[in-house]
This record gives sequence, structure tokens and C-alpha cells, in this order.
Amino acid sequence: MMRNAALAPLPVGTLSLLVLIASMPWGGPDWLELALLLLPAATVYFWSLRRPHLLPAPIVLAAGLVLDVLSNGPLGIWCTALLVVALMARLLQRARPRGGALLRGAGGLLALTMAAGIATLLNSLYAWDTVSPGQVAEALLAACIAYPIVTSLLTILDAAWSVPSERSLFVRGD
Amino acid sequence: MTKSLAPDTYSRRERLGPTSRQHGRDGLVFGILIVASLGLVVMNRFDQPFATYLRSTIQDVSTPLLRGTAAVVAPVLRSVRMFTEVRELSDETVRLRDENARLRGWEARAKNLEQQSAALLALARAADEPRLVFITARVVSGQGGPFARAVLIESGREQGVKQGYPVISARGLAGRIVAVGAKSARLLLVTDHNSRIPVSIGVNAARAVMQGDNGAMPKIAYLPAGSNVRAGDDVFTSGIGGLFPRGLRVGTVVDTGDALRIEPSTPFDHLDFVSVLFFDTIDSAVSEEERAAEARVGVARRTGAGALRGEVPLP
Repeated sequence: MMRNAALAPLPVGTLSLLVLIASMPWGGPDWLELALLLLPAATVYFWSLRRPHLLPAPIVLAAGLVLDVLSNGPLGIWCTALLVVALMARLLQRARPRGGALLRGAGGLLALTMAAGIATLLNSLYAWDTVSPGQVAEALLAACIAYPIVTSLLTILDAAWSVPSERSLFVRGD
Repeated sequence: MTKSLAPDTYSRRERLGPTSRQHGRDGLVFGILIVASLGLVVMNRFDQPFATYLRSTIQDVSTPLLRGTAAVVAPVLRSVRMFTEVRELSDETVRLRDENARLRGWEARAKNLEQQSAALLALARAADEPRLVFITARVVSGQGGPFARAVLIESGREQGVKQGYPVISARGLAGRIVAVGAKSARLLLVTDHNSRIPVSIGVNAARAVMQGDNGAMPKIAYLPAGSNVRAGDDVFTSGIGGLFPRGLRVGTVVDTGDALRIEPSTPFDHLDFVSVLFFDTIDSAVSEEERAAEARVGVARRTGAGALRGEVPLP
């Protein structure tokens, strides 16, 4: 119980931080802004795979709403994308609970692709206008390059924040 | 029950994994929320009041957080900007040198015209143009990638900002306010695909509409045939329709090869501060009754800490 209490703010905190960082006025090209908006999707995937009970669906929805507002897009688009990513991670965890790093990495890239695809499709339908596929591809490439970095940082944070379980502690009589 | 491979730092619940029942319940919750999110997109499309209320509430809550985060990561932000700016610096130097030479010629002409204008005004005994009150506010969000061209600014209803107010940067027109929260507002940039601005182009003041398409350079629409518009012509707001004051600088006509477009004078990549002009349009003008009621209750427009108020003469 103590362990969960200590870890509880970590997924929500890191997700909130990345949502805020992604929404800041960095002043780069369009693909860079879209790539930054994909980083919260990477965070949702990471925590949904690793500690799904600490990132429940309503929190994912709330993060998506904030991202929608701060990215000045229509409400509901990033919500849908993040929820689909979280659901995908949970299904992957259920189907392959012993999946290795390669599978998790491939799943992460798939999650980013899905998030970019959903956001592009819904935005195009909403505005009844097509978004340049080249920009989306560039953004996706940049997000895929950033993905291992984000994941490594989150893994370090997760390990640093966690305390050893009762199973690995020395107990009188062991 | 699924048994997952988990490190020692995982709790018993994490090591054992969720039960089938929990999986089913999770799936149901996700399904409902995904449908609700799609419903929200539809509500937003049809401008439902709930979507507007939700947006302004979230905007008001998250804008200070965004400002706080920006303050913490400001050095990184500056470094990224410096990197992009250095790349553009050599082109900018050449452009500025040319512009400087051109402006020297214009300076003499402007002084001459100023004298003529003063003489004509005195002759016509024209009344002074009313002055526009403005408020300067910080831009706190990015533009939203390729999907949108809008930013959040850190001034809202409490600072007197209203929907429809025009917004300018130091170099020209930036856009107009489309949504207002208590302490923040959403600024639709002139490059957004929903933006349509009546403009006058060149020395002949050809009337047209500047139409955003989410690209860097908006299109010129409804330009009458034989208008004799050329690349390099200056573009100003025409004031037609009463949405914008007449004569705000918008940009310059450029020839992209296949069509003439407008290059906005505002640098949207590095938009840090903007000024909101308190210009009431015909539709949004406060009625006399409302003014009287406002005066009765003694409502005064307040100025926020991060905002600066001033007055400028109408162009």
C-alpha cells in the first residue's frame, strides 16, 4: 500500500508535465509541434503497459482534454487518440504479458502511429480539409526518434521512485 | 487470471495482473469514454455551449500552469529558439539591408505626405479619429501543429477582452479573438483556415479577402479582375464589414509561382506578446442599455498583472 501511494503521482505527474511541455510555444516548424504533441501518447503507452492501475481511463481522458485545449484544436480529438493508445497498451499487456523489450518498443511505435493517424483523420474530417501527409510523416519520424529517450527517462524515474517489494526484503526467519 | 512478468518493485496486484472481470470492466470504461470523446468532437463542431464552457474552464485552469512550466523551462526554450534563429540570421541580414535602403527612400516621401495630410486635415477641419484602447498580453501556447493556427493568450474577460477583438503584433495584424475565458483567450491567427479578412492591396487599394488555409501564406480571394496587384504590394485591412479597423498592416503580396499570396508581416513562429485592440464590431458593440446597466453596477475593467494597457490612434 505504501509503495503504491508513493508511486501514484508519478504517471499522472509525468503525463501532465509532458502535456504542458508539448503545448508550449517552441516556435519550430509544424512537424515539430505535432511531434511534441505525440509525446504524451508515448507516456500514456508506457504507463498503461507498466502500471495501468495508476493511469485509469478518466485520467487519460482529462489529459487528452487539456491537450486539446492547449493545442487549440477541437475538443475530443487528442482524448480519443490517447484513450485508444491506452486501450491498445492494455490489450497488448493482456495478450503478451511476458513480452520483451522489442515487443514493447514495437508496440510503442505502433501506438505513436495510431495516435498520429487518429489525430490527423479526425482533424481532417472536422475541418473537411486534408493535412499534408509529409508533415505528419516527419512528425511521426521525429516522435519515433524521441520515443526511446522518453521511455528511458520514464524507466529511470519509475525505478528511482519504486521501493523494493516485500518479497526482496530480508525478513526475520529468512 | 494472467500472471505477468514483473520486477521486484511491483506490488502483488501488479505481479498477478488484473482478472478477466477487471479486464472486461476496463474495456467497457474505455469504450464509453472513447464514444464520449467522439461525441465531444461532434458537439464542438456544432458549437454547443457545453463544449465552449468546457474549453474556457480548462483554458483558465491550465494557462497559469503553462506559464509556470514555461518559466521553468525558459532556458531550454531560449536555446531551441536561438538555434532556429541562427539558421535564419544570414537571410534576415540581407533582407534587412535591402529593406533599409528602400525605407530611406520612403522616409522622405512619408514626411512629405505627412505635411500634405496635416494641411488637408486643417483645411477640412476633420475631427480627430477616436483612439483605440489596447491591452498587451503574453502568448502562452503553441499554434497546434499542422491542424490549427491559434494560440492562447494570458488575458481574458477580467482584462476586458471580448470575442471578435482584433489582435496585432509589433509588426502587424495577428488575428482575432474567438473564445474568451476569465483570464485567458484564444486567438485565431490570420493563417488559420477559418480566417477571412477583408483587405485592401497596393497603391490602388484593390479590395479582396485574405483567406487562411493553415499554410504560412494565406490566399487572396475575391480579387476583382484587372486589379493590377503585383508581388511586393503592401496589404492592409480594408475595414469593410466592421470586423477590423481600417489600415492595419497585414503583410506583403508574394508570387509563389502558381498564384499570388500574402506573406503576413507578423512572425508567427516567434510570437511572444500581442496587443488586443478594444475595437467593438457592429455585432458586438455594447448596447446603450447594457452600458447604462454596467455604469449602474459600477463595473470597471480591470487590468491583469501580466498585461499592459494603452491607447493608440486609429490608423
